[in-house]
Amino acid sequence: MKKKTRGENIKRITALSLLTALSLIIFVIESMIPPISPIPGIKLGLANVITLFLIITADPKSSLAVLLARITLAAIFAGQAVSFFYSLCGGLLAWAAMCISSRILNKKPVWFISAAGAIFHNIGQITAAAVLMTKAALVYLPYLLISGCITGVLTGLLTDFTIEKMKKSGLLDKLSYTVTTKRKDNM
Amino acid sequence: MKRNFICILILFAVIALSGAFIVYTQSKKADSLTAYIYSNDVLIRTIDLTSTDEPYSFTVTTDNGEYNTVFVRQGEIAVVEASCPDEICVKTGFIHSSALPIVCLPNKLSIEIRSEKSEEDIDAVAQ
Amino acid sequence: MKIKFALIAAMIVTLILCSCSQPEEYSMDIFAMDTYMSLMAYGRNSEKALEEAAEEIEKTEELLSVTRPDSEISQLNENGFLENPSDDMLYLVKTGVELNGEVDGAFDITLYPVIQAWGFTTESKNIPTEETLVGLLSDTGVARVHFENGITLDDNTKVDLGGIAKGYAGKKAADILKQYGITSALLNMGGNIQTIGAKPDGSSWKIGIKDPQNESSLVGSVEIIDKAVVTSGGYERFFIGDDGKRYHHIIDPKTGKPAENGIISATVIGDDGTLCDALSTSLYIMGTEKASEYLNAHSETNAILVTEDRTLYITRGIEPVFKPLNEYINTTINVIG
Repeated sequence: MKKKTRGENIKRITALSLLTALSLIIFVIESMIPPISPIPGIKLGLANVITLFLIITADPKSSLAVLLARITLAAIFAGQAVSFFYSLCGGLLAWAAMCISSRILNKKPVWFISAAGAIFHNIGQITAAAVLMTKAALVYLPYLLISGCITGVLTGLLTDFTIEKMKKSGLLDKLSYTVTTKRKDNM
Repeated sequence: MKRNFICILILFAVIALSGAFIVYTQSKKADSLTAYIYSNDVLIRTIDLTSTDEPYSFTVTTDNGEYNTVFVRQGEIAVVEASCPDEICVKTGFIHSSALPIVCLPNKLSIEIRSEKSEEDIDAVAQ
Repeated sequence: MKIKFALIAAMIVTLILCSCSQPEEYSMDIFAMDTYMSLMAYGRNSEKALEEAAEEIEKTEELLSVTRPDSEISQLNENGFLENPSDDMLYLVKTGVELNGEVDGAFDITLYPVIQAWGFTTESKNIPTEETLVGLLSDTGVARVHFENGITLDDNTKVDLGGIAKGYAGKKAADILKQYGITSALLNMGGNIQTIGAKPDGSSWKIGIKDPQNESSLVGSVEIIDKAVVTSGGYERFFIGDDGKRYHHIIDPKTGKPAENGIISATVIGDDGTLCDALSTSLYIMGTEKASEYLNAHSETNAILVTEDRTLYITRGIEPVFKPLNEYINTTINVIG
C-alpha cells in the first residue's frame, strides 16, 4: 500500500465528513416523517443510502466510519440512549451484511445488497430490543423482514441511480477523487 | 440477468417465509374451540374442546324424560345416542367447527361450536 | 434497466398497500381520579380529541374530588349548601338521588361520613365501632339532599359522588371523542371500560372480566360495540383489620359495613357509563337474590354476577357474547333477566 500524501488524506476526510453530514440530514428529515405503520422499526431507512454508496464506490472502512459518526451524532441530537443502542446493533449488522454480500456478488445488483442490509438491520434491532426490553419484540420480526425487503430494494435502487447519475456527470470522480485513489492504493 | 433472477428469488423467499409465519401464528391463536350446549334454549354447559384430552360422554335429560348422550373428544363433539324418533342429531356425527351445529328438534337440544381467539386478544380488563 | 423500474413499481405499490391498511392511532396514559387511565383512539384527529378528552376527565375530577378542598363537592360538604352548582354537579347529584330510589337504597351518595369512618378516603383504615356506625347512619339518606337554591344538605350530611364519577367522566370523554368524529376508541379508566364504536377493523371489542379470587386470571370475556363495561368487586380496595378479617370498600348503606351478600363481583354493561358504574355497585350490595330479582324486573340492564360459590349469573342480553375462561370454563351459567 502506497503511503498517502497529506493532500489526499485531507480530501478524503473532507469527502467523508460531507457524506456524514448528508446522512445526518437525511436521517433527521426521515425521522420527521410520521411512521408508515404502527409496528415500531418500519421505515424507509434512507440514511442507509450513504452507507451503501460508500461500500460500493469506496471501501468498507470509510463506510463504517461514516456510519458510526452518523449514529453517534443522531443519538446526541435525538438524546435517546436506548435508540442509540438499537441503531448501533442494526447499523453494524447491516453494514457487515452489505460488505459480505457486496464482496460475494462483486457489487451487483446494488438493490439486493441494500435489501440484505435492511433485513439484517431489522434483525439487529429486534435482537437488541429482545435482549434489552422483552422477548415479545420478536413477534415483530416477520413483519420487519418483509418491510426490510421492500424498503431495502427501494433505497438500494435509489443508491444505484445516484451512483449511475454521478458516474455519468463525472461528479463521482470529483467527489471520490481521494476515495478512488485509495481504491487504487488497495489494489 | 441470471444473478438478478436469483436475487429476486431470495427476497421473495424471505417475504413468503415471513408471511407464512405471520399467517401461521395468527391462525394458531384462533384455534381454541368451545362447544355451547343449549337445552330448551338455555345454555346448560360449555366445553373447551381444545383442552379435552380424554374422551368422555354425558347425558342431557329433559324434564319429560327425553335424553341425548353427548360424546366429547379433543376438538370434536357428537350426539351418539338419543331418544328422539328421527335421530338426526346422531346422524350429524362429530362436528369440529362453527360451520354446522348439532340440533335435535324433538328434544330441543342444540350444540354449537364457536371458535374463539385466545385470551391474549382481550382489549381491556374490567375490574 | 427494465427490471429496476418493475421492482420500484412493485415495491411502491406494496408499500402504499401496507400503509393504507393501518389506521391512525393515538394512545395516552393519564393518572386521574386516584387511578391509572389508558385512553386509545383511532382515526383522524385522534390525538387532539384524546387530549381534549383527558382535559375533560381532569375537569370532572376537579369538580368531584372530595379530597380537594376547592372542589364543588368539598364546598358543598363544607358549607352544607352550594348556591350555583355547575350543570355537571347538579346532574350528578340529581342522578345519584334518583338512582337511590331505583335500586331500593343500595346506592347512596350520602354515605360519605360512613366511608370516612372506615378510613377509605385516607391512608389510615380502621374498623369503626357499632355505635359510631349507627350514629353516622342516622344522618344518611338521600331525603336529606334538597334542590332548593342550588343544592342544600341537612346537618351532618355529606355526599360523595365517587360511585358514579369515573363512569360519568368516561361518558363525557366519549362524547368529546364522538364530537371529533372518532368512531373507534377504547377508554380504560382504571378498570371502568368505555368503548366507542367497534374496533378499527370492524370487529367488536373484547373485554375481560377479572376473576375476583385470582388477581391474574379472568372469569370470562364479553364482546361489545359502543358500550361501557363497569365491574365492582370487593377485591379492588380493601384492608385487613386487626381482627384478621378482610374489609373492602363497598359499604352497604343499610348496615354501614362492607357488603357481604353473596356476590363477589358485579359487572354491568350498558350505553351510559354513569349508570353502569352506579348499578354495578348497587348489584354488588344487593346480593345474589335481590340482584337477580332486580335484573329479572329490568330486562334493559345487562349484567354478569359472580357469587361466593363461583356461580355465574348472566342476563339474557349479554349471554350470547359472553365467553367463560380459565377456571370458569365448565361453570354452570344461570341465565337471568
